[in-house]
Amino acid sequence: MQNIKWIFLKECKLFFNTYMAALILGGTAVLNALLVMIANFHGSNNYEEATVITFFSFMSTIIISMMILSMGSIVEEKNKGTMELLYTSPISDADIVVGKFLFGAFVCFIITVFINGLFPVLLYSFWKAPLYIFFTGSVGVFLLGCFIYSVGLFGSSLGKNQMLSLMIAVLIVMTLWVLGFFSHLFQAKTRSILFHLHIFSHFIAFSKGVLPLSGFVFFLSGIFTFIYLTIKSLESRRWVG
Amino acid sequence: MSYVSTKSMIKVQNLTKYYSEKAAINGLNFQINKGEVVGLLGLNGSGKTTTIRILSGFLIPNEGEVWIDELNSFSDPLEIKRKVGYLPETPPLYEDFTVSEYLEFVAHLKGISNSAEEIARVCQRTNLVEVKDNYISHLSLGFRKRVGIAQAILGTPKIVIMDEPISGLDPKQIVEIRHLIKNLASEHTVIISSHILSEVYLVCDRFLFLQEGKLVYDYSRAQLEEEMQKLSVLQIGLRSTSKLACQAFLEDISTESEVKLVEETNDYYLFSVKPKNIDSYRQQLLLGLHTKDFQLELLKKEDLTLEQFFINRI
Repeated sequence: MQNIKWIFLKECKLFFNTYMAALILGGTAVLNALLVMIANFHGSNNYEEATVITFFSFMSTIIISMMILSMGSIVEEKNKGTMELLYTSPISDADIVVGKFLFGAFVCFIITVFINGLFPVLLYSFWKAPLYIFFTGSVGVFLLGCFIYSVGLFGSSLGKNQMLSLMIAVLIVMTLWVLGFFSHLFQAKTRSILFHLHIFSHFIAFSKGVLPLSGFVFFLSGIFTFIYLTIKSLESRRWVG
Repeated sequence: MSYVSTKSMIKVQNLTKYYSEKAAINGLNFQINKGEVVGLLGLNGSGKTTTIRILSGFLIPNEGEVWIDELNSFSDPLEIKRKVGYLPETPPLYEDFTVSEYLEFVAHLKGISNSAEEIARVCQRTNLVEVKDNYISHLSLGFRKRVGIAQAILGTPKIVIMDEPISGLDPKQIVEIRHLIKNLASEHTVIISSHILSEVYLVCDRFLFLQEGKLVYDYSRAQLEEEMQKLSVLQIGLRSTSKLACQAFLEDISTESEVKLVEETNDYYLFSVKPKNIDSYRQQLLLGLHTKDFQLELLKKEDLTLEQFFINRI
């Protein structure tokens, strides 16, 4: 547990000491503002539609920011040689991956609460939706962000550079998305399985003021699966060389 | 050829590592005793870095076993890593950290309780005190190597492994790092891999020669010097009217000697002679010259450098 803490603190120090914090947090805020403004430019029919559109914007920005944040997480350590330090220190591969994941979850939390949270505060007089919708939507954004970060970590453990890592992560997310989107083309049994993998369908329920159990199960099981795969990927490097 | 000791700090048995189908090291066996400073030598691709990476816990072998301080690398991997400090060829540094922040992070990873005192000690030892608050990205290569060595010796591990610790350094830095490595021997068992053989020769007291993933020679310093002595040659310059007479004279002194004409200018001939016993050959040469009509202009013993010995043997 102590080792996880040191990896987490190291990631935080590197993030806040460099331009990455400004890039990710500032970029997310700017992109959020643009998307929310453009999406709601023509005025929406009702608060429900406007809230869904707003959280659709938050979904896009959290996916982009978590992808950018995670793409270099492991591959950059490999390329700069610092992975050799972590591999030869008395810590396990699970400590490394969990420490890095917790950092991603922490940044995701900052974005969800302090950046996305600014919108209902600043737009208080215009914000017609009940606040519980904002709460459930934020839970959805947080879970989605953590899920995307775990996929990104896995991509980063496989890729040889940041671009390849990003492409692997995008490919995984797009595959889950597309399979779910076209699930109606398949037979009933296959359709229900594929639809369960549809990231958007799980997220949209949160933005409508619901905390669906299936959504929690999907995101949490996805996070655990990709963390596990990342640990196994790091372990395999010791064997392969 | 091989060392066997009860004080064995590292024991490697039948170590084999494949990259795809190719064996980088194949059936490697050796023991390293406590307090030894061992040089791991070999051409590129001979398996030095793979061996070092397995010893440091970075890689897992396909076959064979490693014991470090009587712990097995498969059953106690984390405990073994506490006993080994490792400096890879490129020091594993976080450039956006200051030296002290970086060392503090490594100290935490190693589970060192009194990290502040330990960091002060290694900074003192590696002459990093004046730059400890500088960002690593602002340091020269020499200082980066020192930071790499400092992280390797944090917590006083029993074994320090260094891969190419002096590559890329200027002469002044090489001398400084050489002194540092020599000082480490008092507290640690040290393994060094390097292409700069003259430096390895200056700091190590045992030499392991790898070739195509196998251990081909294992010499202590005394054994290596003896082997190098055997390959020493005499440079003999004679002035005479007859080249053949000179050659016959040198060959007659000892029939087991190898005599080669190296240079020929007018009536001057430079020979390279590899006798079995250099001292007795030299004595007989000087005695024999009285009876001959040759003028001795050069008599020099040429000792082999480690590079020449290496090329000769590998």
